[in-house]
Amino acid sequence: MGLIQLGRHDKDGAPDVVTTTIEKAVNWARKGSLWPMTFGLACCAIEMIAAVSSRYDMDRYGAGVFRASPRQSDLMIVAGTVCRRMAPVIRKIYDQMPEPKYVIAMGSCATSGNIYDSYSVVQGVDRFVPVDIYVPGCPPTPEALFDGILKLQERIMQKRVFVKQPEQVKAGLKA
Amino acid sequence: MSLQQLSERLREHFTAGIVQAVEWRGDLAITVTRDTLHEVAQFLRDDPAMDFDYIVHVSSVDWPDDEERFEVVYEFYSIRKRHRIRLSGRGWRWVPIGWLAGAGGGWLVFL
Repeated sequence: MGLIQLGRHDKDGAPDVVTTTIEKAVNWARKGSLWPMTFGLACCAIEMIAAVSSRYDMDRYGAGVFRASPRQSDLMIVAGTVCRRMAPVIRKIYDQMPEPKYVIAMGSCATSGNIYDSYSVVQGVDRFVPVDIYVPGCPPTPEALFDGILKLQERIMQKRVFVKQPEQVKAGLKA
Repeated sequence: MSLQQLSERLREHFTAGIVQAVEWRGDLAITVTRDTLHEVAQFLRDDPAMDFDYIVHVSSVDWPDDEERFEVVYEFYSIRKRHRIRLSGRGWRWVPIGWLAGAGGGWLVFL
């Protein structure tokens, strides 16, 4: 995005016109109003709650309005250990979310199953939903979650909205 | 890559440094000497067949009766290849928790 100053503003000299591409504007709007869904499964949820509350204030990144309904949200933060019986529920909720949608795997359990390599625990939430960002930690600090959200916002800015995604960008997004 | 293949590939590259490699109930645990731990960890991260990019946890075991008392244990996981390995070594008088994460350079740091 660029700024063009067409003559001085009457009062403070601020620029009058902002030039940008419509794609950047759309991406900017998307990244600035992420609506996460409350999906706390275990102890990571406590850190997620702390991240939203006033001390850490996740609202700064436009991602503070947690919804209880998948229909109203576009970011699923899977926070905690995913049990096998919870897996189909997560998939169903993911399918109910409107596009575009993003997934953050928060914590070691959601990323890899952590130490719970057992019959009842899913070894990483990426086995059944596509994950955009992995946040390491057990549990991750709110700052680590913020880092994940900022990384996700960077990634959203790279996405193509109106044209096909170029192959090299796709490859870059995967890496 | 199966655990058997992982173990064999590690043994090919580090003949002297690996004290033992135990596979038990689907877990592969590698014990290495103090001097080779860093090399082995780097190999696990950089080798394309290994591709371990995630530190699941870092912990330590205290063996009070032994000469080398503290054992440091790392567990690695590959998000892409979905295999895991446990790496442990002895010989420190303190526990280098942040050492590997810091020296890794680009490895996801376990907080």
